[in-house]
Amino acid sequence: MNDVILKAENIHYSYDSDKEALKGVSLDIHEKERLVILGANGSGKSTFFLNINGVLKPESGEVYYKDKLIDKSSIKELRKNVGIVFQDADNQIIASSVRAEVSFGPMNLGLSKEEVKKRVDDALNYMNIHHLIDRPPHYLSGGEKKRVSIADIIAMDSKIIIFDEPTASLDPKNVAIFEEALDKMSSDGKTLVISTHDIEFAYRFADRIVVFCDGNIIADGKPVDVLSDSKVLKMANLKKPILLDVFDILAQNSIVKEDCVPVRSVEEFRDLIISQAKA
Amino acid sequence: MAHQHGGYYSIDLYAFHSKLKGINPEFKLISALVALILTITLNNIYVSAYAFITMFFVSVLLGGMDAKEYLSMFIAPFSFIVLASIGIALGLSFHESGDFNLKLGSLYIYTSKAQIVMTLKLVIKVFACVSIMQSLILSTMPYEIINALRNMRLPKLLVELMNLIYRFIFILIESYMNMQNSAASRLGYRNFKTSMTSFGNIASNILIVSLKKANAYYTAMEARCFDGDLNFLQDEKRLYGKNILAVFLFVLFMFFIWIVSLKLKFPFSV
Repeated sequence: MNDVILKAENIHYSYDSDKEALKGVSLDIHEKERLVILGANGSGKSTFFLNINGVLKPESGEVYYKDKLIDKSSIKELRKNVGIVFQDADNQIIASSVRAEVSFGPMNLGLSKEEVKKRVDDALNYMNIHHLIDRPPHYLSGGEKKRVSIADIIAMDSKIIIFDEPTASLDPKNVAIFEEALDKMSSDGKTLVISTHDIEFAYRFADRIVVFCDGNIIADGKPVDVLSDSKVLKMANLKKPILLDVFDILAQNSIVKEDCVPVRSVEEFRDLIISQAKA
Repeated sequence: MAHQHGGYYSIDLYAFHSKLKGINPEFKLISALVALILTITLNNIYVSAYAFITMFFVSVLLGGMDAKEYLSMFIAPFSFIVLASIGIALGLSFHESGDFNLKLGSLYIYTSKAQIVMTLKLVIKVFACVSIMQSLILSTMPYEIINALRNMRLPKLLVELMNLIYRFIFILIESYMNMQNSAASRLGYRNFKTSMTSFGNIASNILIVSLKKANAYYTAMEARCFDGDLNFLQDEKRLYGKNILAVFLFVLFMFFIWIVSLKLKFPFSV
């Protein structure tokens, strides 16, 4: 496994005095990994994201970026390297044209005008939306807005990109476009942290799954292990992915060999069935 | 060309489709201001008429806007002008006065030739000024105007407020439309009483929504390293000699009309 790029240690946070949103969360995020975070609404995922980006300051606990403890002086460095794509693009898009919007982050980093211009062009090309550059945000569709909000973060060249429920308001076509973009970012060496309720997507995409429940982490491990743990699934109100369920039924009934690795996608499943049928 | 978007009327779509949007926005802003100031200070009915006709030409022929839609833009200012000119043209008196009057009990509503001429001159001047501002708005995106003002050293606070207000107009309109639709779908506008209740509830909700949205925005801005200054990259649009020449000729002709109308003593020119 790669080096730890971001380390959160025993983070406590509460919005008001009577209820703690985070009750001592510790998590290591490794370089270039595809980490999916599951958990019910209000389980503390978004609060955790804001804590590791430096917008919220933990009441107690530490955040380390590349083994460096984050304090007041290095908080800008943290925000630069950890980008968040917010759930609702309408709560993120601040400027009145796509060009101005995507330039907001790079401008705040204090880059030269030429560099900002280059980054905006590159980020828009990356998301295939360069033709929208002069558009005001209120004349964009939901899917386009989402892509603009992702380009926002790509233009900042953050090492870690956090997506807060990115597929929540997207139609299937836009989800497919989004997943393609994720694969591209992943192969470009970005560390991706994604919170979602889409368990099928989590199973298909993740290198590692972390489950939040009521301000705590209750599971952390390989997708198959986490999603096979019925206790965890019950606690977090999650459902087993259909593919894994089908695979388990087939394995229990000895239709596929029990010792083979559970499949992650329909393609893998097809290959497995065909090869087993031939054997 | 459609001006309906998501159920609300939006004027900046015209600027987005205008053929003149490629012209340097600072130049457009300055030209419009010069034209505006000259129209007001020269205070000449022929200059005003010339400005009005030229602006029609600019927006419709050069900007590619539909003539009917361009004229319909004047409906809103027109109603204000009519109301205002009534106050100027008509007077109330207890005695018979003016060139024309109407007796209402012991009151006289009166007017005079001079008053009518003055009102007409004013109406034409107002129309000319409105048309100058409209050709600016119909060819320049609001954020470009805001940025041009920033480049012209308007205080940063005002520029940033303008930027945020412009963006928030659309956010709040959208929230309002959603709430209105949801109220309508639950018979919220069934009769006058429920309409008033729904309107009141939505109005108070909009306040809460705007506060929440402002909070969410601030969080998102902070997450992108916001440190107190709203800076955006703007497209740089070149300034062409032919544009300057066109505006120069326009202004020159304005003076020409003014001088000629005074020298030849055209009617109503003073």
